[in-house]
Amino acid sequence: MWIVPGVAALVVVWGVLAFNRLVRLRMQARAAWSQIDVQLCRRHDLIPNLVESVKGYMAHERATLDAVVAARTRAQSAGDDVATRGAAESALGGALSRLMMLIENYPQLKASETVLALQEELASTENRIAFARQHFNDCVMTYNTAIGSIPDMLLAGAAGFQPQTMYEAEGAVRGPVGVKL
Amino acid sequence: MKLSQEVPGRIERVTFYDELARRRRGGWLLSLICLLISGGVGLVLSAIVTPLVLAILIVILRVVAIPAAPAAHAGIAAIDAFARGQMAHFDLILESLDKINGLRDIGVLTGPLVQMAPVTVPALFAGALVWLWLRGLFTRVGGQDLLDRMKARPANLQDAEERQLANIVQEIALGAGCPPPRLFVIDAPQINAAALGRSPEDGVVLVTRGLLLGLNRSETEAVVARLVSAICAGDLHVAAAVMAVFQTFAFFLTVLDLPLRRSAWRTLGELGLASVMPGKGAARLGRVAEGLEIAFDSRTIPDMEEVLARVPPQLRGIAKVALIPWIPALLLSLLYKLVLFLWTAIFLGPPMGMLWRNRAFQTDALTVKLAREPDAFARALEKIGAPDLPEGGEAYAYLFMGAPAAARGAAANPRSMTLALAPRSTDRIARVNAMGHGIRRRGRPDLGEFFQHPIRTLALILLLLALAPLIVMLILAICYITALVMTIGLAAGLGIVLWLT
Repeated sequence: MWIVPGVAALVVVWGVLAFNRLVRLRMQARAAWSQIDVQLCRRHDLIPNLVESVKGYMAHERATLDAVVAARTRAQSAGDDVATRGAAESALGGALSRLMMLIENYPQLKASETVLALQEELASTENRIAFARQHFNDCVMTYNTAIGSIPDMLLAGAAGFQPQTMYEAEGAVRGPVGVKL
Repeated sequence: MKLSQEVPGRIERVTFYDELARRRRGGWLLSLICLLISGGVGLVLSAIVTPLVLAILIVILRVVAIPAAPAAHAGIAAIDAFARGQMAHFDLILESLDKINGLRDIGVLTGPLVQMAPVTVPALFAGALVWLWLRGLFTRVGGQDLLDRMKARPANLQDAEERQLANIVQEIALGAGCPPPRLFVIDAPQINAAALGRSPEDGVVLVTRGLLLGLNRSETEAVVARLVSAICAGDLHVAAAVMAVFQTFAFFLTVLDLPLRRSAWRTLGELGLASVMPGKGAARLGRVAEGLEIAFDSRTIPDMEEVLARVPPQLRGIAKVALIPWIPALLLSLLYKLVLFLWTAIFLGPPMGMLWRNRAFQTDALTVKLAREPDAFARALEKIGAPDLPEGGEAYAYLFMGAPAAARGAAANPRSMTLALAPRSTDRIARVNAMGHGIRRRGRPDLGEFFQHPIRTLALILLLLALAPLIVMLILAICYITALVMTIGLAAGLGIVLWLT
């Protein structure tokens, strides 16, 4: 006679533990997303400084500088949607990397302490964004795997746990690369 | 061009976190194994430890018994009965020794020896307790001691190289989802790095100045990823557990050395003080760690000569006579050390070494999962190689990424036991290379490939089968030697216990 209430109690205990685990995973993914946000803002904050320090030397590269500033403005006003925000930020990343390549052509800039320090900070920020994205994607993958696998699937469906979107790098390889030689 | 052949699909990736969680669980399992091994150390030493535990118990009970507590008297009576019972078994063993006329009769001993098994129980517990105590103590204070000793300083953010290092630590911590560890720099020319700390929350990354100057950004990144992986995966717990096994070992050896050398008294005294006042005991604990390591060394006899050398020449003859009562203690200590080393070398050491090496290889793989640059990591490992430790780090060699190869396998070096556990850096580089673009160059013959040939496998199995009786004989012989040495020591110890009751 003890079997039925015993099994019921076990199911309830499992339900509570599994629910808490899913909540924890979802919170982890959200925290990871906010980490990306922090790093993206850090990049936004570095840009005016960089533009200010190189502007004097790079009068001929007005267009590139303007593109960076414009991309920054667009990224700042992109909102919270993962896909649009991702697209705007990677446009900014592209504009920045073009600027960095141009800086390589100016020996005076490469010798400047300030520009070197800014370059290191920017490189570090790019890395941080990449690592934060990796962290976010890892969290999302763990979470999505958890809510997609038996037996947590049953609970996740009933309690309304939705799968989350990964942060894809724009322009990443989406199929075999055609190599033309 | 054959480029098109290597277009992978989306790489199936076990996330860093799944791997991390698995390895944390594995860490607990390893700690448990270490605890059991420490119990095993106690078991091997039960002949010494059991009488010691009983004697201490009796002394405590005697003190309690002064205000005439009946329970204390009952306790003494129980210990007395236990000791007498074991002594009776000892008489049985002596009787059966009389019956032995050749190697073939050695089986006669089995019965009485098995009957003496309960005597190992107190020692088993004592071994486990000492392990818990030492592990707790060294994880609490050990890291600070190392930082003090090596004169490590917090990173200077004004310096370009160190600023970059601080950035790298932040980046990697982000990727690992751990709080960023604190960063310390040692002004030493060697290329080396270490990770310390009890938990991810108070992890410390320790880097030499030589590493900052010698490695480029991506290589430094790989090294930092290795250290952060070790901190997050709980490797430091495992390291502390493994170290505590050796220290438990050394602790008992030091107790054994008490009649023979003064430094044993000093070490145990400082250990006691460090446990009572853990707050400011960092430097003291370092001395304890060194003192414990001396026990692995055979410096006991030189110590006796030292005593003789201090005696004025005209009294030296008398001093030699006065030292005669110490000769049994000396012999006993030497016999025990022999038995202990047999056991470590054959039963305890290899499994632990294997577990620890595997752990190191797994952490390397985890590093590649985190930083995703196996080639840079392999280059960094190559540059680190087998450097000398920065000054002051000798007692903590196991925490460093590179350890001096010269010490390995050198029996004369008291630290060779812990260093022998570490994987060879060529093996590590080979494995990391296999994850990147390099071809796996094998540091040693690969067993997996070996077993792909059926004939070789068959030959090996036959060889093992032929050797099996020999191996079993060897193990049995070691067991018998241990048991006999133990019984002799035990009889002496229990005699003292009976005298105390």
